[in-house]
Amino acid sequence: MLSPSRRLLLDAVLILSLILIVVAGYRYANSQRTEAGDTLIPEANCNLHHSACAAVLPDGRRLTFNITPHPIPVVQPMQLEVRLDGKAGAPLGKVEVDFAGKSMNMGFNRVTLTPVDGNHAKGEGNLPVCVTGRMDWIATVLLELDGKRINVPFPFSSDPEAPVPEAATADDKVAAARPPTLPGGDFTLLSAAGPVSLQDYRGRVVWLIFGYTYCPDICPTSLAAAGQMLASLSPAERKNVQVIFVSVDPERDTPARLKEYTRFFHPAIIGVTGGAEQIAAVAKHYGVIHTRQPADTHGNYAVDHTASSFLIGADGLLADKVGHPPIPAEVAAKIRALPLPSSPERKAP
Amino acid sequence: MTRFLRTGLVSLTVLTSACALAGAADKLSVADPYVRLNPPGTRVTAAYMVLKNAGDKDIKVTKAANPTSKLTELHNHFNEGGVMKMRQVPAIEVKAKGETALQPSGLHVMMIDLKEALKEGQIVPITLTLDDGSEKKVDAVVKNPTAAAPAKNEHAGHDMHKH
Repeated sequence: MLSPSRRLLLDAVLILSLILIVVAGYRYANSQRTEAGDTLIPEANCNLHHSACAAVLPDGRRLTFNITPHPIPVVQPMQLEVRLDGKAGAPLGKVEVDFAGKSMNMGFNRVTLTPVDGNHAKGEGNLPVCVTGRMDWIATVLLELDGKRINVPFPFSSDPEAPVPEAATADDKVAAARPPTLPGGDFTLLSAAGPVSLQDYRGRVVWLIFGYTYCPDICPTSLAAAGQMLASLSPAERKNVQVIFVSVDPERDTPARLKEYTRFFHPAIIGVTGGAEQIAAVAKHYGVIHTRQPADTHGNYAVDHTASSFLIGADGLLADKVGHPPIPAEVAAKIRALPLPSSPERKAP
Repeated sequence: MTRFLRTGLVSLTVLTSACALAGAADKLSVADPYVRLNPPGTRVTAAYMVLKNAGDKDIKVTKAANPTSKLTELHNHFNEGGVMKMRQVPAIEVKAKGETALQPSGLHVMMIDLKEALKEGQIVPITLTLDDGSEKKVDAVVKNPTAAAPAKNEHAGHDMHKH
C-alpha cells in the first residue's frame, strides 16, 4: 500500500503531466496553423552579391540572409544561410528560400534549409541559367516563426555590379502571399468535344493535372485519385469542380485518345492536348517540367514530368499545389476550403 | 471423406516438395498482390504487393515474369525536384525480417506490351525470381483503380466546353 503522502505526490505528478500535455497540444496546434504570410521589406541598399543582407522581424530581432560565395554563382552550387540575432525569441521553424525571376518565370526553385540551431539554418541551392543575359531575381526567405509565416523577398540582379533591383513592391507582396514563382495562367487547348479554355471555368475550381496516356504509373495514380475525389463530392459540389488533364505528350495523345483514357477514371474529367509549342507554354507557366526519354526497341518512350498538380481558384488564379500522390480526401478538403463566388467567404464582412 | 483426405495428402506432398526447392522463396511471403486494370487503349500497367521476409538474410527479387505481357520489368520511381522519374532497377531488396512495399508511385513490377486487355477480377500469375535462383509464385488479382468511384455517371462536363 502507498502511504498517503506518496499518493498525493503521484496525483500531483499526474495532474502536472496532464497540464503539460494540454499546453503542448495547444502549442502544437498553434504551430500547425498556417496563416497567410506577412511580407517584410529588407533593409535597403544591400547587394547579396557582396554581403549578407538583413530585415527586421516583427519581434524586433534581425534576420540576416547570406548567399556564398560572393558574388553569387550561376548554375554552380551556392550556400544559403539564414540567421537570427542572439536575442531571445521563438526559434526558427521551417525555413525555405525561393528563387523567382522578377519578370520571368524560371520554374519552381525552392530550397528547404536544414536547421543548425534555433537561430540558424543553412542549405545548398543553385540558380538556373538565364539565356537572355541580365535578369532580376528575388530570393524570398520563407520562414515559420511562432506558427506564423513570414516572407522576406531579397531582390538581386544576375549581374553583381548592376544596381540592386527595386525592393519588393506592393504587387510583389500580393504575389508573395500566393505560392511564388508559379503564376499559372489561362490557356486554350483541344479536347475531344472542342476547345477548352481555363477561363471557361471562372466561378469554379479547376484541378489541373499534367500527364500522358502512355504513362505507366504516375498518371493513372493521379487520375484514379481525381476520379475518387470527384465521386466523393456531392452533386452540388461537383458542379463547382472540373478536373482537366493536360497531355505532355502531344505527339501520341490525340483528343479522342485522351477522352477514352480520362473517362476510364471518371466521365467528368476532361483531357486536353495541343501543339508541342502550346503545351510547352502552358507547362512553363505552371512550372511543369516535361522531358521525353529515349525510345526503347519497340518505339515506346516515357515522358518524365512534374507529378504535382494544381488547384485553380474560382478567380482563375493558382490557389494551391497538390503533391504526389494525391490523397482524394485531402484534395476534396482543399477544394472545399477555396472560396466560391456564392460562398459566404466572399461576402463583405 | 477419403477422397478429401487423399486430395489433402497429395496437395501437402506437392507443397512440401515445392518448399524443398524453394530456398529463399520459402522465407518470402507476399501480401495483397494486385495488378492495376489498364485504361482502355493502353498496353502497359503494373503489379503491386507487399513482400515480407521472415528469414535472417536479405532477399533480392532479381526478375519477374508473367504470361499477360511481352515484357516484365522491375521499376522504381525517383523524385527529382518534383519530377517523378521511372527507371528500371536491377533488383528489389527485402531486408531480413523486414518488408518492402511495391505500390503506386514507388517500386513496382512493370508489365509492358500487354498481349490483350486485362479484365477486372482476372488472376495474373506472376513469378518472382530471387537472388538464390529460387522462385516465388504470386497470383495477383486485376483491380480497377477507380473502384471507389461509381461506375455510372451523368455526362458531367458536357456543358463546360466551348463550341
